[in-house]
Amino acid sequence: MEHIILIRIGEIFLKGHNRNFFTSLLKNNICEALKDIKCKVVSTQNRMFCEGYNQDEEEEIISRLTTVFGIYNISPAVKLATNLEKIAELCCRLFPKEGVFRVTVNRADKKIPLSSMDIARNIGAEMLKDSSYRTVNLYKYDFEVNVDIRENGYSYIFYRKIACEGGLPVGCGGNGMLLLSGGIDSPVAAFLMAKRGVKIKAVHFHSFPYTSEMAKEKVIKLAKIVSCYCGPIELSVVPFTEIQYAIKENCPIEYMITIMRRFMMRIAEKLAYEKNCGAIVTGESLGQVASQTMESIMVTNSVVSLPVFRPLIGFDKSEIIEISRKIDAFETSILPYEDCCTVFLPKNPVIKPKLNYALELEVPLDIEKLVDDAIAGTETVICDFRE
Amino acid sequence: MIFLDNASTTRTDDECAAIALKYMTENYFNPSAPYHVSVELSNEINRSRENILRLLKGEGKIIFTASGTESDNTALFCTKKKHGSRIVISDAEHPAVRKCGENLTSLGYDVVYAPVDEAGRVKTEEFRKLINEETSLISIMHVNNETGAINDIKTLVSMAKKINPSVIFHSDGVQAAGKIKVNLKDLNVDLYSFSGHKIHSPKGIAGLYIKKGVNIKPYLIGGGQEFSLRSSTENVPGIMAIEHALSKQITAMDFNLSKVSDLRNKIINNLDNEKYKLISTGECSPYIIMIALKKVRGEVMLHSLEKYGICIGTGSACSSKKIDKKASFGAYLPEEYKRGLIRVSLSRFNEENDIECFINSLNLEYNTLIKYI
Repeated sequence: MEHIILIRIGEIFLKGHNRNFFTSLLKNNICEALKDIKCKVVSTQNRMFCEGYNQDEEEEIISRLTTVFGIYNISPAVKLATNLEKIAELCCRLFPKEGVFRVTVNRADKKIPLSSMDIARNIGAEMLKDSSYRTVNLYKYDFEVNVDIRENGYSYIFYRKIACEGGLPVGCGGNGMLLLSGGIDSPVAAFLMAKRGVKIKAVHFHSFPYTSEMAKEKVIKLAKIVSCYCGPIELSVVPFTEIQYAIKENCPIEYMITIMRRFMMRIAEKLAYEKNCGAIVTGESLGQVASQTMESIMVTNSVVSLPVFRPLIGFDKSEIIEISRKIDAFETSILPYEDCCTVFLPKNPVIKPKLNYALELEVPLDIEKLVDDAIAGTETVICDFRE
Repeated sequence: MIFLDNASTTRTDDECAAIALKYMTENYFNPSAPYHVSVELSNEINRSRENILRLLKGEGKIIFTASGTESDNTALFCTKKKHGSRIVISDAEHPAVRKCGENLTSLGYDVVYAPVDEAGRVKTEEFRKLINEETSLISIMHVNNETGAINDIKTLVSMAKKINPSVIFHSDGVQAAGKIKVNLKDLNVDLYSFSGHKIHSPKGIAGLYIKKGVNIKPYLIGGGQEFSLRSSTENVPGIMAIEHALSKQITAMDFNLSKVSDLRNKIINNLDNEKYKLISTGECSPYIIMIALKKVRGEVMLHSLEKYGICIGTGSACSSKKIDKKASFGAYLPEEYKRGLIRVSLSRFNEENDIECFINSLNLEYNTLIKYI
């Protein structure tokens, strides 16, 4: 008998010829998430197993697996060579001595002459014989005894299924360059895109001395929190003050944010090409603030040609906060440090900016030089929750 | 590095560090153990205690604590007071006292706040009006940690005791002890907090003076150390270091005061009134200078000066996102100065060229930053 964790894979099931690509990627991601824990990950046709670990680390492994996209659910289980008597004996020993239960058997190994129902009945009978405080009810029960008899000659006994995030293995959807501000939305956007298999890289705009070292540390911390789901994140911290100065000197204040965001998009795209990303990811939600109206998004979007993914576009703030809390980012997101967007914030930012006017305003700015200088000052930080 | 944030903490004096090290590596015994070396150590602690009492000219006893905050908490929570009685603190207290006040309010005490003037100094007449027969405890800081304003504790104590002789008067002297002249007997306070790391001893050691005849309840219960008022194995390295630090500061008090005053004057005399407003006016400790910048945020200036290796502080009235509601002395400031508070705090380790560099950098950065307002 050995303790193992049964890993059921989600949507990958749907994949046809590419299935091997997805499963081997998922296996790699699982190994990466568990790389500092001694264990082995084995993959079979439609599920995976984590085995050979120290029992003390089981809970930690479970908690890490629940953050790996592509896993549908997991069950801590015991594994033994298939032997019906031994299975019944173990069920008697492992499960509570009192309470209402049911037995569910899944017999993939058709060499066994008994049907799933027969085996379940036999195990149930043994368990009732073992303790008179146990009773059976197939519909209303305190615990479920699951027995999975596989064709490889092994059986698995487990009682709980722990739901995981589902989604696709991170990396199968290419790389995305996330604009990470330090607020509530962008970490959630990272989470949602990673769920669809996008490997996240991030860019943060730093306005020293207007934003502090602490604000930068906060962003690094957020990237680390999200890295539980996305894997290590390469974060580019781009100095943004000179660009803000240039805009402030040359453009009317109500267009400050619009033009700033156009610069952010330009820098994000340039970094995206440098770092092999096929898309830009933002945490924009339609109408949330002045820079996220349809007109504003059009004006800022028009400086880039890469697709821009905005997974939160149709979300309410409360829905975003719910996910933010779930991924443990909320408490960090609301720490009160200035971010680059709140510096030089105009009292009345333009809500419906005009593209032609924005273009006109940018004429005196040496856009290429400003962008290149900012990128040249970039500091790169690898954000990994294990560090 | 030019360190001008000495009100937050100070560089440990080499001699204090050496003393602390000796009591960590050689005389590391537990003073409560029964063998000879421990008994000796216990005697040394008591000698230190007596010496500190003598240096601060008090009559009563000193208990050692781990921080100024702990001393303040002990004073606020462990004094005997009738439930629901009045407690007076000032509008400009450090959070170590202010938060205790908020907590005592929620416990049902009548906590009232004495108004302060534009430098953060308690207004004597308004203070008097708050004292009544129901007042059990008063806590007024000796030197304001943000502006350096000195409260006339002696007058406030006598004023309070005249109205209500049974009132307990605590003063937070963390920015005073070892920096300006302190005579506890003359001040006539019942309780007085002081801290080591503000005067070049290591962090983690502080003390509370308890005047003879004043009773407090234990803050920590256990092995009975510190007259059973604060059980915990004594921080012997810290105790020895704070004694030395205090003794060194008090011996060189006049010399330090004159040096630091010269530095302070140099800053003040070079402030351009068009750009800066001096908050630390009237009788102030020369160690702390608060300046309000016109239109430029204090936090931004703090970060701007980092590139010259200069560390300063900001005022709590300019926390990054919202202006602190308390904003005691900040309330007197014109709107365009409110977010521009910076605090320059000095120590005997600062030199004239540090100050020159600071003034030049401040002006240079101000002129740059103001362009983008």
